[in-house]
Amino acid sequence: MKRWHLAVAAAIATTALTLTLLVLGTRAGGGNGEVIRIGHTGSPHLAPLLLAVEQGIFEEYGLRVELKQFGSTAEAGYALLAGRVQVAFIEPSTSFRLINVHDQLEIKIAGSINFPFGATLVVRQDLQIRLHDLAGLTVAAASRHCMLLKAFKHDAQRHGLATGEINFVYTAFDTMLPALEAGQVDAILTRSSYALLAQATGHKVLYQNWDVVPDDACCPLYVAQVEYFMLVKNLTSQAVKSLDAALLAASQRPAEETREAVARRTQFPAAVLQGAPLARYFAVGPELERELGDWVWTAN
Amino acid sequence: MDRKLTIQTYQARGLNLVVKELAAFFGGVAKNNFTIEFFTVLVPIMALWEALPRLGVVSPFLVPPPSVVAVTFWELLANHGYLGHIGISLQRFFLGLAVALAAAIPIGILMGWNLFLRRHTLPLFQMLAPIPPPAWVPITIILFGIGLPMQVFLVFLGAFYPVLFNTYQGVKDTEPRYIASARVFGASEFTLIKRVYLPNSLSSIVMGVKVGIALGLVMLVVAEMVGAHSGIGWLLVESKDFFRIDRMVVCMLTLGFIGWFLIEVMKYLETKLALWKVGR
Amino acid sequence: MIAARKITKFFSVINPQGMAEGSTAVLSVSLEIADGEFVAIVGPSGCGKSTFLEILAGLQAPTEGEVYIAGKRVLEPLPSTRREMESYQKKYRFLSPIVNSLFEDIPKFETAMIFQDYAIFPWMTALENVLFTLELRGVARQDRAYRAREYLAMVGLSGEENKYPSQLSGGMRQRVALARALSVEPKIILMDEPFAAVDAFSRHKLQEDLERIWQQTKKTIVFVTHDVDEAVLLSDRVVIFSPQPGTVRNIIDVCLPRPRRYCRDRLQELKDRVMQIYQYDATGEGIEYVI
Repeated sequence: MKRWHLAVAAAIATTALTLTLLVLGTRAGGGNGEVIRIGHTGSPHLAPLLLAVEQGIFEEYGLRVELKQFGSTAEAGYALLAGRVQVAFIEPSTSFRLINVHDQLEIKIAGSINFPFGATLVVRQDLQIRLHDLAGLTVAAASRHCMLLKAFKHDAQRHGLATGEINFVYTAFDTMLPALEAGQVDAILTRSSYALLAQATGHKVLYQNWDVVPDDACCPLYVAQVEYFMLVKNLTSQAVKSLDAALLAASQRPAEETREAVARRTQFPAAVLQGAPLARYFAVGPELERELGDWVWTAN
Repeated sequence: MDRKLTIQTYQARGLNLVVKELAAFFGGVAKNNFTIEFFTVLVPIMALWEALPRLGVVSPFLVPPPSVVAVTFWELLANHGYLGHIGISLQRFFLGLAVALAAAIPIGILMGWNLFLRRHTLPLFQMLAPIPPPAWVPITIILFGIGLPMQVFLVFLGAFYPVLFNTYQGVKDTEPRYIASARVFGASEFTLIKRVYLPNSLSSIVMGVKVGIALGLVMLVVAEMVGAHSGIGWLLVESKDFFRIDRMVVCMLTLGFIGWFLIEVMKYLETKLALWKVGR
Repeated sequence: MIAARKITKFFSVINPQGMAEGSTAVLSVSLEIADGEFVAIVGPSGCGKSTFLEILAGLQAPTEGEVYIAGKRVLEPLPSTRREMESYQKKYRFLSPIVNSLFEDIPKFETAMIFQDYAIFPWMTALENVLFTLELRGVARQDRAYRAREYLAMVGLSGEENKYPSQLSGGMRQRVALARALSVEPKIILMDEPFAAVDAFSRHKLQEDLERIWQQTKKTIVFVTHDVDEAVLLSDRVVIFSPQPGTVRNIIDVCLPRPRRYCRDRLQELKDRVMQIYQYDATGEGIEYVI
């Protein structure tokens, strides 16, 4: 080994160490007085979070909070992994993937934001039709045995509407709206939370049923209601408890204020919000705790 | 020119030739790439890569160490049909490359051979070529939908222009004296192309194919990331959605290895073709 | 055999005023070469002798004048008026007139040409080079190899058939070029400064071999060179070219018996005569031989 070989090796080692120290420096603990960064995607279903920031509710509970918006929840998940945010609001399926792979990382579920479940049929905006004109059109549903589909067919029968001539295609909930936009389907039968998003781009609601109780493989109990799980990493107990309390308080505020906050903080049209229910924050309840096991955050 | 060979000796000679060529190829690769200087740089980097995540200096979930990557690679091979994904990616790549070569080399030769043809076609190609191939993706999806034709078309787009321009330049730059010599002896244009232009421009063509391979691989990954349900590019994006960074690293390294290997093959072909240039 | 009548080559460019500008490479050169003659064309570099040779070979079209080889015209001259030029360009816009044909090899039995450099194909071995010309000539496949070896032996390259030109010396490469030219069995061989890039020892040997081959095969040879010694040594007639514009200044007969290496003094005499003509043209001195 010549001397300059050693010099090259030393240079590489120094560079690597410098880079890692830089990376380390971007981490934070979220302890007393430090800023807690929260990652989110700017969806209107994050109403409690948006209201809490608008009205300074976090400060009332002794927290300094900074919101970071991401294009998708997967990006928010990676930011959480890398430590760039300490809290992230992520959809259930993505949350499970994240925690599944990195269970040594102590990413835990500390709460959830729920939206009332319900079946809604949204039709594409350029089709000026009524419920009875659905024969021959293509409608997307989650699966053949979906509760929503059963509810819809039951109600349709009661009103004398034949569903046999409707062309059903089966696809996952989150691909329904893009398919509707692209014109691949004419209408979608989906959860009300997605329906609200569809309405924002101008599509029309033809049917809505809030009494559907989700409880099967297609729409399992806890997943159906949850829009976003609140995932935390590297936060002190105190911080998590304060977050929890702040968001609960935000959920109790009057609907008008919440709607205004959402309209101000997102591009969502206020008119669509008027007739719709709002998302609310819930701490992890006993049923969820039973299902999720040790993925739930506990104070220690 | 002894043509009195029996079938067996011809086959034996063929097999011997293949073995000899393979040995020469791998020997050359080992000698040129795996030098002591390379290991001087590689070993410290690998050591750091292994040590830093294990020591917790960087998060082992963001930077998986080589041992974890190796285990993941093995697991993908054994349980998840990784070979199948590699096979399908290579299939798409070679199809696109074949179409590109079949189109670009004849067109390039014709363009280099004849001024009239060149004047009519070169401006068009020169205007279309600078469009970066990834910019073609949305239109390709609209026209071809998602599936094999779209992927092959994108790989073709990546590989076509480098091969075309290098072929055309190589043919155009043939020494005029060779052409004049052949013409004086009465050669037709077809003979001229086959026996004079083509051998002379082979090294340019090989160089063009090298660049075409590199760009074709890029387009393969792009095509698989946005429009496929299998293949290494698709696995890369799937792993990202499932937060499996170790699998992403495996995919990246596989793609890098494929590209490196293909270029080594082309470099070997180049040395074989340049035999008659030795000594100049 | 070869009859060149008033060959003029004018490289022109049409300037914006519609006038032709350019240089005259060859001006009104007429030359008649009989069968079996060895004619040397001498002149300094750039005096148009190479251009003249290429016109004889049919690789360039003359601006004026015609070349007849064995009674057949080689290439029509370029048109002189603008209208004719336009229709000429239209006719030849796809393939130039010096092209033989698209798919069929047309064997040429009259002329063969050897260049100074890049004479043979470097991607083929010596043997393959000769096989190539034999194939162009239309020789049957079985006979090609045998014939090729014959021609290579004729130029003295018996052991070197399978070497690539990059492995051969300059002199040997020119021998291969000569073998190629001979393999077509032409009536005329045109040579453009073939030995200029060869070292002095090989050149001497090559000159001897060329003379021997010429005497054996009795072909017509037109030999362009800038070396007056060589011209006087080898040829029956020396055509003196002068530059700017290229014209035939004089033609000197060399009536010495062969082999000429025994006539050193007479050769030197002839050489001096040629050089004095050039000196007279350049400076106006040396009026001993006035033309």
